[in-house]
Amino acid sequence: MIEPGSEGYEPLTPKTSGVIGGRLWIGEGHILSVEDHFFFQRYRRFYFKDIQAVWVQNTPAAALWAIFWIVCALPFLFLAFSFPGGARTISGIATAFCLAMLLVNHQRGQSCSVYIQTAVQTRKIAALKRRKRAEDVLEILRPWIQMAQEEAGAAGGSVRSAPSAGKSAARSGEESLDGGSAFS
Amino acid sequence: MTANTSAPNQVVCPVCGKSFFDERAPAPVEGELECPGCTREFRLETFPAFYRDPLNSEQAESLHSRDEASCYFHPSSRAAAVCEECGRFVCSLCDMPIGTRHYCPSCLAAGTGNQEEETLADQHVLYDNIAIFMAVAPLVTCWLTLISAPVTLLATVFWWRRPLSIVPRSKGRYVTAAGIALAELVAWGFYLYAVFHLR
Repeated sequence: MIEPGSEGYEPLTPKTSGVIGGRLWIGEGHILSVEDHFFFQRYRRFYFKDIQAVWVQNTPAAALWAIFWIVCALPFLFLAFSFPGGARTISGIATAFCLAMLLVNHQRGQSCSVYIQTAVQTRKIAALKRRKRAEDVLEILRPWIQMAQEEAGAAGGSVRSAPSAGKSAARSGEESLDGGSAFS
Repeated sequence: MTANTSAPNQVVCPVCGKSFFDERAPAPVEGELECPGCTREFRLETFPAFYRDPLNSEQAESLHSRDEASCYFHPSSRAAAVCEECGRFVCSLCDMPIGTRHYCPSCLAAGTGNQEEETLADQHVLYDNIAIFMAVAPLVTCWLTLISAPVTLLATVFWWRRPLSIVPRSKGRYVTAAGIALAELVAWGFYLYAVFHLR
């Protein structure tokens, strides 16, 4: 169980690969986005009380990966049926690998980009590249953000009167209690 | 990495920076949105902080009497906290809370590059990855490993106690780099032995 109040950091997501690998950690009152640039790590802290909004944008990366693995599998499949003996075995293994990767890609679901907006910046989160994972992470974070902002609101700071503000806040509150997702 | 700064509480496309708000037809500020600039579709979820009025959120309190401590940066404002780095009194406007600690703006600016201070560090050099690179990259030329292998071993010993990251990170990469460097040295030992003694 992840406890943001505990000492140090607890991992929130597994490490992602890519040019900029990323991982999300949860710490005292904030989430830490760690970006790996091979020779150095860059840290971005997002305090629960400062998070204004989360943006999720669907990207075509998952579809492109699916096409890539299909294109990789087809020649090996052709070779597996064309040649006898050892070549067939090797081609068969290569085909199976490509199809397994295709299945893994499908299992991971729709690809996306996630941005966190605070009062001063909007940052892309390198660790969240799949919608399924992004929803799981938001499910964990939503109650913590709500709680931190309710405490901050009680301590001071007025709320702007916007037509959808109350509704939105109430809706978010209900969701955090119900455990439902705004992204479903 | 896309990053843009925007005025507080504005709905601005995180990719192209175009504002979603049209005064003639105010758009909803939550749910499915299409950017009027790049036409990308987004799902937006807002939190109470989004609706907080930035103009009323934080204001420094004026001094009530001459006996009260005043802010180092704003002498007419009442002190609200003490900077834990330099000990200066700061008002609520200058108070920079990072977790449970409080800093003044100048200490915060000076400390963001400090890798030893976990609450302020914004980046860390990954010495273990450098060690791995030093051990593996020279394998391309083979002969360069004669120099890089002992350098890698020395660097591994020298860097061993340095903090790796503010998040948990094992020393496994150091061990791997040292192992590869040792293997390279052993290979060189065999090679030189073969050249000079088995002719």
